[in-house]
Amino acid sequence: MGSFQVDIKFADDVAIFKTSGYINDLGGERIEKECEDVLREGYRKVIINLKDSPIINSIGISILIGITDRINKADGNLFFTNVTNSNAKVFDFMGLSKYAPIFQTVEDAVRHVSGKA
Amino acid sequence: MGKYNLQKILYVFSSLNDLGRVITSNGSMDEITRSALYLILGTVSSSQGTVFRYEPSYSRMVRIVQKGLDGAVDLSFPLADGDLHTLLHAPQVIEVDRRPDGIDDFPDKAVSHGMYGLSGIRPSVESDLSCGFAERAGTDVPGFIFMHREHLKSVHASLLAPLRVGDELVGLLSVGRRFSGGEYGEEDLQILSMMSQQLSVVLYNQQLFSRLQCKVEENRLLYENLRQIYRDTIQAFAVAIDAKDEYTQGHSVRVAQYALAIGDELGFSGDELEGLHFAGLLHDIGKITVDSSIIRKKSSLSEQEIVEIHRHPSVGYDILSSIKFPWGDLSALARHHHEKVDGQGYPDGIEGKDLPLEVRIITLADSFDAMTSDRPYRKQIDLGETIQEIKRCIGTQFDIDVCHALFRVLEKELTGEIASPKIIPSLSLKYDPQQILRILRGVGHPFEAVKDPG
Repeated sequence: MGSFQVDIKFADDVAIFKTSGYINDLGGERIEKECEDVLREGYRKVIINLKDSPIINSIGISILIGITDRINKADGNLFFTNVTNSNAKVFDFMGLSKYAPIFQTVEDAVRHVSGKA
Repeated sequence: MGKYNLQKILYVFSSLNDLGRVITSNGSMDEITRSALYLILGTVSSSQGTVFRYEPSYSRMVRIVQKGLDGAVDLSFPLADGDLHTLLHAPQVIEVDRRPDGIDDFPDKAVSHGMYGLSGIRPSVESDLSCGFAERAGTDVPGFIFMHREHLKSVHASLLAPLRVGDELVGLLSVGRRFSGGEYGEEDLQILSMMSQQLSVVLYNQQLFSRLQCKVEENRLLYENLRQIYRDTIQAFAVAIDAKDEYTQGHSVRVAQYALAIGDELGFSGDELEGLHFAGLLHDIGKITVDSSIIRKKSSLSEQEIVEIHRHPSVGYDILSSIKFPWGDLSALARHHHEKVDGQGYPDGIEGKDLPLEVRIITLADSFDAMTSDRPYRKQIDLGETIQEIKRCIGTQFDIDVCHALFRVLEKELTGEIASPKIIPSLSLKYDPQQILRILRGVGHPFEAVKDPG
């Protein structure tokens, strides 16, 4: 896997992040920074698509916990999508999925956010 | 690990493995500590954590890394009497906000509750709240928590892990509340215990590295002091040498200056250049044993007196050879400064390139000053004549490369190309710069035709 990247798209009032690369070192903090930026811009609904980030270690979990915490404190909503089965279990026992539900795809998450699900 | 399923156990093992990898990585200490903190928080599921480093000289805990604590202002806090002992002997993990039923005013009536090592055995005895914290001897964890409640609040401390290696305290790890809510389980405390011990090694290594850096700096200063003592001593010697005779007043200092200028032109630098300077100052040290009447004599010297004066390079060598200078062996330079490139000099009659370049520089610098200064037996020679005389002696007395270097320096100094001239300002004779430049730029550079005997 090459260096870690974050692409951001916007669909109405939803910010959709797509990560590429392992989230297993401090490079993953870029998601946290980008997230702070969109919160500052007023977005409160954030989707993180982890399709191209199959490896997430405890540094990555720590970063995702930080993001979840931040969005919660800003009265926002965070959703994860395309999470591998093993990562979904980790999200579960680490308490992440309690505050940030997991959806199969970005479209599913967008439908949920826009109340069309 | 009762409540732990296989997936979680694997995750914890993977985290421990990652922590080991991070600790032994090549990253900066700050990056390693930060990664270690993130790994720990991502394993026990907390969004907030802080690593403090213990500064023994100031008896303070200094925050070095934090996560999830925007607005936390307390960067450091002092340890009170007894805190060091407490943290050295406290359980590996302290639950800061665990309280017995009915106690809600954390942390004013905080109690500690710990586990020991990896055994998982939790002491069943709760701290006795009726006992005054200040009066508790030995390991007063509640007292510590009470004393530092404001600092611990500011970092949202829920768990504390004193970081220690052997009997040394190196820091303190604070972990915030559990992200998913609820209290930490015994397994979490065990994991934190293991991981914090690894974090201790990181901080201990930092401490060792920092001590090593201090030691290196201390030694560097000591070495610099030593060099300064050498410099002062050599300067004093140079003054003593030149004081033997009014005619040689300042001779050693000027030779040192000229040698420095020529060496610089020839590409010497650092210790080599400084060594050349000090060789210039000390080259005549053997003269301190020569009778002053011989040095001051205006008439011709007798054979015995010539023998006596010719001894000064060997005497200088004997004096200097027992001293280990930081700039290399200066004694050889004192011994050979009267050698000639054609092998007709004294005391050893060494020829050409067998003479170290430094010797050839000192020899020329010495002769240049001798010619341009008054001596008891003759007046100083005009600068133009001096240059012509040096040209004439290239290949017999002087080395061609060294002479060229001297001429280049003189030309550069006369044309102002060198910002801090060393030779021209030291000359006590009058000269016409244009005439000297014409001589230096002499048509066809007659000295180029002279073959170097080496």
